[in-house]
Amino acid sequence: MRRPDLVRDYAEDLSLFEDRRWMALAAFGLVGLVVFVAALAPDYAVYVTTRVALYVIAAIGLNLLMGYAGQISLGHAAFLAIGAYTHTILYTKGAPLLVGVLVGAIVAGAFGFLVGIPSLRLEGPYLAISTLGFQVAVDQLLGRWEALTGGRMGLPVPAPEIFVELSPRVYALLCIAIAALVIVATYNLTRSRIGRAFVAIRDNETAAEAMGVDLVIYKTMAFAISAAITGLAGALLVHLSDSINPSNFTLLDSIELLVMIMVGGLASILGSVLGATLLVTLNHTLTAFRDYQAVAIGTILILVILFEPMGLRGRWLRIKTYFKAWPF
Amino acid sequence: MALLEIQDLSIAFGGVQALADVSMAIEERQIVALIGPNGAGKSTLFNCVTGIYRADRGTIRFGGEDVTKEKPHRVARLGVARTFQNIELFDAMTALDNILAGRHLHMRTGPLAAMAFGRAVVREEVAARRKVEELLDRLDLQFARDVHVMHLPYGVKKKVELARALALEPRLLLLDEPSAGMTSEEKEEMVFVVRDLARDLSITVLLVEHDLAMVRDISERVIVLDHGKKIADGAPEDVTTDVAVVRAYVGDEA
Repeated sequence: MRRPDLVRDYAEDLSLFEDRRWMALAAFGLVGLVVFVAALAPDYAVYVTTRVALYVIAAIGLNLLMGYAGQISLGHAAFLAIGAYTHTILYTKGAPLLVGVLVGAIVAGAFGFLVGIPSLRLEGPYLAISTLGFQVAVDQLLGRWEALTGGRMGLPVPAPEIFVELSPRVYALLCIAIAALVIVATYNLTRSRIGRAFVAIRDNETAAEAMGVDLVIYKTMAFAISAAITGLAGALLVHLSDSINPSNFTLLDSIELLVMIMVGGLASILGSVLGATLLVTLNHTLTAFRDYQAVAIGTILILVILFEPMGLRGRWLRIKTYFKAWPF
Repeated sequence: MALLEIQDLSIAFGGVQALADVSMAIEERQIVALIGPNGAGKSTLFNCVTGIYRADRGTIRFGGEDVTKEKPHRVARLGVARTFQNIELFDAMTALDNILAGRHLHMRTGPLAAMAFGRAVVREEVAARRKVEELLDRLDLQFARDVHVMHLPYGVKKKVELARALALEPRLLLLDEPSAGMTSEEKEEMVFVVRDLARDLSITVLLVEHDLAMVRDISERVIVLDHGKKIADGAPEDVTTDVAVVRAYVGDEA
């Protein structure tokens, strides 16, 4: 299972899958997931799968910013919130579902641009504090601006509808489709000129500038794209319950996104997928531990980081290498 | 008109006058060596030209345009590329990606087009790749193509950095100690590489170098800095035997 030893031209080297077998595997996995969600899964599993798909999107958003562009953010739950509230308000007023979701992502992206401006002066822990400030400010604003956001009581969310009302299963399929699109789009972004500029900024700002990368443009762009993608996830998340309120989007949720990409693997789309899947699944399956659920999850995460500092992605690379080299 | 014209350039850090009224004009397609003892202001001069430092006084003109107050990415866009004294590569990227990053200014793809990765984007990537492969060939770096640069030995890193600078297709190339830490064979190779490149690609080269033998081999003209002042400027044979220069390098008793 390897890229053909003979890559005939540079375009072939750029193809999305290393060879047909990988493409078949990906297609097989996607079809399997669709069948599972559409027909086989119990209701609760459908709900969890939807959450996994949406947190995959949110984690990818954060990973673009932190893993690739190297800019820390402790405020990404605020972008989830901005996407969620924007969409809920528009959707309640009668905007079509996908329009509300798109506008939610764009508004979150615009705020991301603004939050990115301090990154031109601040880095590391100082930038973390400024994004933390944003998180707290958004939380307060949502809690107090009752006319718009319903305050601490929050807003009711009408059932999802595209021409007809969507059942949870259909909605899950929609979310999986969007997550798949986001995965491909962001993977493409990371292997393009833009992705190289992000990594260049992360690895060496001085050299990046000397190559002609405009830090003002690319840092704020990283924030805007990252926030828009996370906002997209936030907008889609609202339909998993019948109301939203500020307590759905706290600092703790920001940290959870952070944990997802650390455990999954920084600067990796696959890592974001693995990390989000693991964490969301744990959150919804270890319920037998009741009060000790947090302890159990914490223990698992510590073990993962301890034995696999590169995250789950590191383990994957090792497994892949093993099979490539098999039988040696 | 000279390609690079520096007039009365001065900059101080705290009490240290790093450059004091330095003037020089570099003609198109010259290879000029900048020499001087440690702390003479050579790297400071590079940093002023490339916009990393802002001079206190004086002007820098490149291709007739005043770049004294330009930011680094603007100077790069005008056609100035450089390498650094202490290798500044993108460590977690492969050599290929490092050099591709050097093509940044020659590519157009925006974020949305990049996400779609359509035909036009592929075409642009392939064109960039072709240029980069040429450079890899030229500098004998194919073996390092897919290696993350942090795993490469020092001399190879230096060459990757040179390739990355060349990927910009600059008019002026600033090399800060290109042969530092290299073996004498590597140094000889570097002399040939730089001379050939400058000739074939009609690039003007300004380089900081400590090895005087290499300076004589590579450059047509030598400028000497000492304590932030220019103390000599001329042909290599004349300058390296100049009394003031020898005094600056080896002290009074020599």
